[in-house]
Amino acid sequence: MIGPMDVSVVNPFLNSTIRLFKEMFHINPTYGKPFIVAPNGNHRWEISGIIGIVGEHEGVIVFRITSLLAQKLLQLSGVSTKDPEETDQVLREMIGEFANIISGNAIAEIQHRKIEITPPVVIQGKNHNISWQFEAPIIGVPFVTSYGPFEVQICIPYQK
Amino acid sequence: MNTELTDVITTITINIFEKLFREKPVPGLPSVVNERKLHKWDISGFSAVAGSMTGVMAIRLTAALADSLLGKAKLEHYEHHEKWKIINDMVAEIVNTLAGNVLTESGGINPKISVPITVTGKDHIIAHPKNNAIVCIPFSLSLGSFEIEYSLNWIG
Repeated sequence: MIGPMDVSVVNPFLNSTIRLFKEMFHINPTYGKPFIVAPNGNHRWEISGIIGIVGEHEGVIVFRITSLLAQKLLQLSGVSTKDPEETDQVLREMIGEFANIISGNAIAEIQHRKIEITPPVVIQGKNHNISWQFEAPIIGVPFVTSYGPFEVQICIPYQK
Repeated sequence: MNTELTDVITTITINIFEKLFREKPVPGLPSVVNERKLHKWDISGFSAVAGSMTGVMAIRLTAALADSLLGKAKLEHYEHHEKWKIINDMVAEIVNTLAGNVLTESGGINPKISVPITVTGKDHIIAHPKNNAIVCIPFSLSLGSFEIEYSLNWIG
């Protein structure tokens, strides 16, 4: 049986996201009003880092970012690349690593539920659409930084 | 490349297509691939795996084949505007069945599979978890071709 989403499970992912930006890039992202994500809607995100959540909560966390912001973060991290192809590959690895770190830190905080994360999968491409058979709404949380926006999408209902 | 696992995945894929679509796909030569930027696949479905085995299993196919398979599936009537949602669900179901059967056959201890996820969009790149080799198994059908990709590691 599917239960509602639980803020005590959702909030650690948001807090962990903010911490990563502060600690790795000295950027303080702020988040806006959460919204229900429309399936297959148009969007501006060119890279998505996807983590599966399994266990007492089952679902998906997606970190979505523009190429522009991802490139800025890469620049801030001091990593240089020799050509656009290598840049794209490093960006995918970086977003996968973000998704992994954010989710890993978040589940370490969620001690009242038995949940695990899957390895990250990253999708890159203009206007790619991601969908899954969800029985709970997908919550989108928009974030803003001085270098551009990104978004966290969360759909992790409790499995009773 | 783990040939034993590749054989298991190949057999299970053939069984799934025979059962769901009454079509027997013919496997081609498996190979290790990189994250391909240019390809012909319009839709990909994948499941991520955690537990004693970690990684990703994916199926990649063209919109035309997905459409043809939908026609072969035993589905009740659906409205035209629902077609792509149903195709997404169908692709998700294929990869979910594949991942579940492969993990059962491979004797993984307490494997956990994520909800199946589908991705559409021209030239979308799937970056698998790093450190895992990506194995691609091509298949052909009378209706078209598709690929199974996997990158799986045993832990411990």
